[in-house]
Amino acid sequence: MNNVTQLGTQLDYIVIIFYFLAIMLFGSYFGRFTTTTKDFFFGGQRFSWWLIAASCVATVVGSYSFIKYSTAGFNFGLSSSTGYLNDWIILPFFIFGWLPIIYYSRTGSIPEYFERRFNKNVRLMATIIILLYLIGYVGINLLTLGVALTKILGVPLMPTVIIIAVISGIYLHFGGQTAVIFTDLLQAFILVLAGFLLFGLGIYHLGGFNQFFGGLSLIHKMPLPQYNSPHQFSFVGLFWQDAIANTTAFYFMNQGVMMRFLSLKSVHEGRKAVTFVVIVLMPIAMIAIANGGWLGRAMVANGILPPDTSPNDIFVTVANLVAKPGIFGFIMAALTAALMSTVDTLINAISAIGVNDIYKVYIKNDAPDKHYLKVAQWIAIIASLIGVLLVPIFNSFNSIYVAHAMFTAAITPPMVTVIILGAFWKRFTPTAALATLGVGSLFVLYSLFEPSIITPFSHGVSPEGGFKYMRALFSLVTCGAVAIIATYFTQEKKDIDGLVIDSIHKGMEIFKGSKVNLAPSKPIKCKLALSKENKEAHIELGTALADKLKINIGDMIYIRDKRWWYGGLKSAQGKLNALNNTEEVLLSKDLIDYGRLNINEEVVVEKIL
Amino acid sequence: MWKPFLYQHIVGGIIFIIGYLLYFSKTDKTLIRAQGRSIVFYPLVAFVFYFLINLFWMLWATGE
Repeated sequence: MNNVTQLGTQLDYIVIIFYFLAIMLFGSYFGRFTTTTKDFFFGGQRFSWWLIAASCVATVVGSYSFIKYSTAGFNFGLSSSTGYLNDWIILPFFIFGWLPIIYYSRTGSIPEYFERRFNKNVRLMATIIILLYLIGYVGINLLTLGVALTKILGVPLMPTVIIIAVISGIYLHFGGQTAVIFTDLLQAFILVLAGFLLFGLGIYHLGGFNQFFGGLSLIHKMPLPQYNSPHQFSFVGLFWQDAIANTTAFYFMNQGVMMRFLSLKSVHEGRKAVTFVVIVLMPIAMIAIANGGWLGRAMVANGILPPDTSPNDIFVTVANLVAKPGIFGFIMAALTAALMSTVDTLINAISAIGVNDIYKVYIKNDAPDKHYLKVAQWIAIIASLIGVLLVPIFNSFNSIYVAHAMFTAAITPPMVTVIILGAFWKRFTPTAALATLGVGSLFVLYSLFEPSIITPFSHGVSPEGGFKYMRALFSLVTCGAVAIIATYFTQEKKDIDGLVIDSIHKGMEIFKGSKVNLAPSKPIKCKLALSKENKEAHIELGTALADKLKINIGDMIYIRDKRWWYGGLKSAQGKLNALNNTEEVLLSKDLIDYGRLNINEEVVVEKIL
Repeated sequence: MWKPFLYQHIVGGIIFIIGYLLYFSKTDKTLIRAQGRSIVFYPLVAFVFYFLINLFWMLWATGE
């Protein structure tokens, strides 16, 4: 795994180094938008859907994605895309339930939700599990990229990993969530562009689409893998582990993704963002990351690559073969972009849990916000360091793909079960949640040592691989059974308004602090002026404009720069305090400064609730 | 050949529909009405999109 064989030219190294510096400076620039912990963790809750959608894709695509999906694409063909094209299954649960629940309940972290929905013990357990999940992901991502870059830079694994971690740690330290969102936007663009560039060059190298498709067998052309074989890439295995367990974990349990959606200006923007991700961006990302493997398979069939080409190296091999000097460096920079955009999200999430669920709960709970912001910034640095230290441990696994699969299969089902039942079943009790996390995890652990217990759930998959992928179904069923049985013998928790799907309406009222105004209205444009009222967070609006917006005093209002491409970076949100006879929106100085808005310029005004 | 396709859309479809049923049976009716039809259609568009993509992809790959 660590054999050093230098690829690329000097120009490629220059491109990669330039990319490192550019992304660090670009990310650090957004430090100026981070003055509170709300900014650091949630970007001030002001962004537009398209910005979050693009940055989400960069988070989904880790550096391991290029390697993992290219390897799968080489071995199994176009069906390697299945992991990116099955998120639709859990979409209704996210859009109708989880997103409004976490947004309106103003939950800062998933463990915090667990305390409010269940109790402190469940929160503690969730904190431990989620931290393991996140820190493990950081280690895996750093290792994968380190292995890939070692091949081209000719440097040992650890220095490569340390450089990447330092760069991500620096811009995250200064910029928090806003830096994560904007660097991820840029990196999403880079990795998709590089992926399609590779695809185009590969097709050209092959001599056209006919040679490409002609080089793929029937099995390699299918959209879905074969039903239950081979055991390491069967349809049912991927369905339960990837489409159900991992996708649910990504959207429901990944603190980083949750924080991304909480940085949006409204729940409706979140619904648009996730739908756009699932329908448009995931297929695009899938082609970008997996085509290296498809090209490799066609190249073997056309005699361009030898039949014994290593599947694990196929992405780098194809990129080096088809890309000209400079372009190869750009493609490697995309691999780095994929890593950084995933790792920065994870580190920001670790920081949020570190502050919200450990520091505030067990160390100091009455400090000013500035103090917590400093703590968050330092936890980001410490998390980067821990990720680096984990790399040698993960490196001891033979296959990154298997290591990743085992890790997620072991810890996600109990958490996913508790989150889903907690959000969608009012009767689900705190004791049952604790039992599911504890007993459910024991069942999963037992199945790791005694895989034959999974046989009834195997769908005919060979036990040869220890049912690694079928474990997800077994785990979800056993955790679900523990949860349901324990619920019927224990006492449900009262006072959980806004924390389950049954009471989202009440959650909206709690979020707003009064009755919600759901009258439909469209955003309007008007001039921004400075309010003469000497109050903080003061917003006034002309009566005629208020009528158009169907907004009343006390309703939540959002004001942004008229240029849509800022994505809400220049914006402010608050409650409408007064009406007047002007044709303008008037804000107090603190809001204008916070939103970086310009007086006397046109702005877009929108009713939120 | 078609078994994964059927499994994906039948078993996946059942899980998908449960998400809808929970929304319509548990969410406050006034909220459902106020939020309008658009959010109801978002996941449905995704389902139809992927069903058709997979269907035509299967037909192309198998040459049927």
